[in-house]
Amino acid sequence: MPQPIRVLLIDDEPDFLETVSYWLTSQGYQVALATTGTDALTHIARQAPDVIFLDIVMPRMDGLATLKRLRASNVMTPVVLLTTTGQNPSELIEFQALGIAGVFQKQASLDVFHQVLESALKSRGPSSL
Amino acid sequence: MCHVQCVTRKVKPVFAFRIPHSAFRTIAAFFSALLLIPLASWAASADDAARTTIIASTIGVAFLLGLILFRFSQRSSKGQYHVATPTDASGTPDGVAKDPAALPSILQEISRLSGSIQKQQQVARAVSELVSQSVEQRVTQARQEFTQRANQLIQEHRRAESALERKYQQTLTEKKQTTAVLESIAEGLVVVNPNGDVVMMNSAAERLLGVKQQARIGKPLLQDLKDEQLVSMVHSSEQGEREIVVSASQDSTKKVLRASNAVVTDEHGNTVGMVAVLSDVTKQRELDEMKSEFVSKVSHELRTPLIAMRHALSILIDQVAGPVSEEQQKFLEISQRNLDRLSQLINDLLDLSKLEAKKMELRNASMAIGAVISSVCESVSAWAASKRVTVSTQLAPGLPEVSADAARIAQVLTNLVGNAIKFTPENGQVTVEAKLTGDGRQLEVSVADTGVGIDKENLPKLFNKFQQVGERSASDISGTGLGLAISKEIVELHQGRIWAESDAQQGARFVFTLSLNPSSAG
Repeated sequence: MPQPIRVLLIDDEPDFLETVSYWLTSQGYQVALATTGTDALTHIARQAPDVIFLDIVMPRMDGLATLKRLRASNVMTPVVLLTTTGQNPSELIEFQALGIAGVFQKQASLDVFHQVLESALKSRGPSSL
Repeated sequence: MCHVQCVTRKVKPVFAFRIPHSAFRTIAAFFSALLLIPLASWAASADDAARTTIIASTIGVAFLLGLILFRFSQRSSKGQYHVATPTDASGTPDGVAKDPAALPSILQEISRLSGSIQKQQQVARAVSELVSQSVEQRVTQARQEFTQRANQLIQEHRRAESALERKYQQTLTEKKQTTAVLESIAEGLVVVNPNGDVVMMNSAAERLLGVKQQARIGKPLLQDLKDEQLVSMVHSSEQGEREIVVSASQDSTKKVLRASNAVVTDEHGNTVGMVAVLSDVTKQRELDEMKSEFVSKVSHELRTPLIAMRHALSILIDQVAGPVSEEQQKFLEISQRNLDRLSQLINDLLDLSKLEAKKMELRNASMAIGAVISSVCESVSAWAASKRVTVSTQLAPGLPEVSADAARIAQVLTNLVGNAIKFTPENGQVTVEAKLTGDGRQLEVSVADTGVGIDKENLPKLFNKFQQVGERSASDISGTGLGLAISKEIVELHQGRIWAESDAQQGARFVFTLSLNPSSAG
């Protein structure tokens, strides 16, 4: 039996985390949750996930700061940004510079979530396996 | 009738006479006696030559006598009176008075004075009095007339003068009022001539631009101002509004001014200057910023709970969390549908707020309109089929690609096609068409339906927010009333135009245009 894919969800909204993680678990993924950037960094240091879903808007350490810290710690795990508002392209430039594997609009259906997840996993490349 | 000429002072008569008839008879007898002498000499002479001489002298004397008689009889019978006045030492008369009418009174006077020289002098004096009175009367009358006329002229002059004064005062008051109004209005007012020299500016303008009027009048407005936007404001001949940012002279803060320009023309249509009305919209812009931030914050806060609900519901409906009964399924679907509606409303509101704040960025790329139309039609096909409405497309061959944000254009098309399906009865037809405009410079996309159409008076209102002009079925709860307003903003953001056409009962046709990408048009 292959190792389940480890997904880390970072969001300050527990309800969103719970529903999505329930669904992801039902789909066979191994899900870890973090409600703050700091929690996420601690978790990643302990066990690196295969893909990270990162909320942009969070109190204290926001998505951009978290991503910067990750990249600074040489964590090159694919990161998918979670957005609520339709971000303008210019707002994502800084994230893109740090390397992102995709963007998921949180109101989109879970089917779309699945597609984005799969495409992010493909972007990992052989070196990070 | 006046017989007095050139009389300017009291006249002293010096010559006046009348020969009475008795004296005249004596003179006539004397001359008749003289005639007898040559006649007697003629009778005594025998010499012919002497006789001839005597006859000739007799005839001459007789002639003279006749002449005198004739002259005196003429003067006395006419009864004329003659007065002459001397002016200088030589005694040459400078005035003559002849007045037949005065004669009876004179004669009466003369007879009363019984001919003595002293009395004659009195007569003369009286005549002179009479004449001078008459003259004086006339002179006085003339003087009075003259004075009256002069007074009249003076009065007219004074009236004109006071009218002028009133007019001047009125103009002065009006000018003061205008100045007071201009000075009291909060908006800055700058008037420049065609050369860009300041003709007038009020104190609000001084304050807003941080300059003093006295230092500016007659000088180019921007002699010392470095703001290029201001330069363009003054030099731009176009009318209308624009916003300019100026630095306050005292501190480093920037002011946002809205300048409304109007070109001033004379009655011949020549440009004589420009009036700019400046208002400080710094606060307004700050509020806009705050509003924009607020909207962005609220949008996040509004969407977050909806997202959690949405995913939770979909887990239930998809039976990921276990089986649900048919009834449970029905109510879960009602919840989901209304949640979608609420999400759509929030999304539309936020989109619109972003568009109106000019915060929407386009991801422009070369786009094939055919592909966008196909994908939109495909996404609504299930819904159209459920309503038994046919959606067909008509694409002109060889359409060039346009530079546009495909996702936003799809949003517009989805809205138009969705509306068309919504307002088309069963077995109706929705046609999406794309072609080039007549001049070949724009792409024209239209969505036509076979619904009830839209009243002419409602057409302009269609693109207003929350405007619903058509009847829709009670079961149809989709639509936020913002779709067309958003579509309009998106199309205009692409420098295109959107409008609606409709004939009553002939269905409606919504059209929008997109400028062709010059690079892909070739």
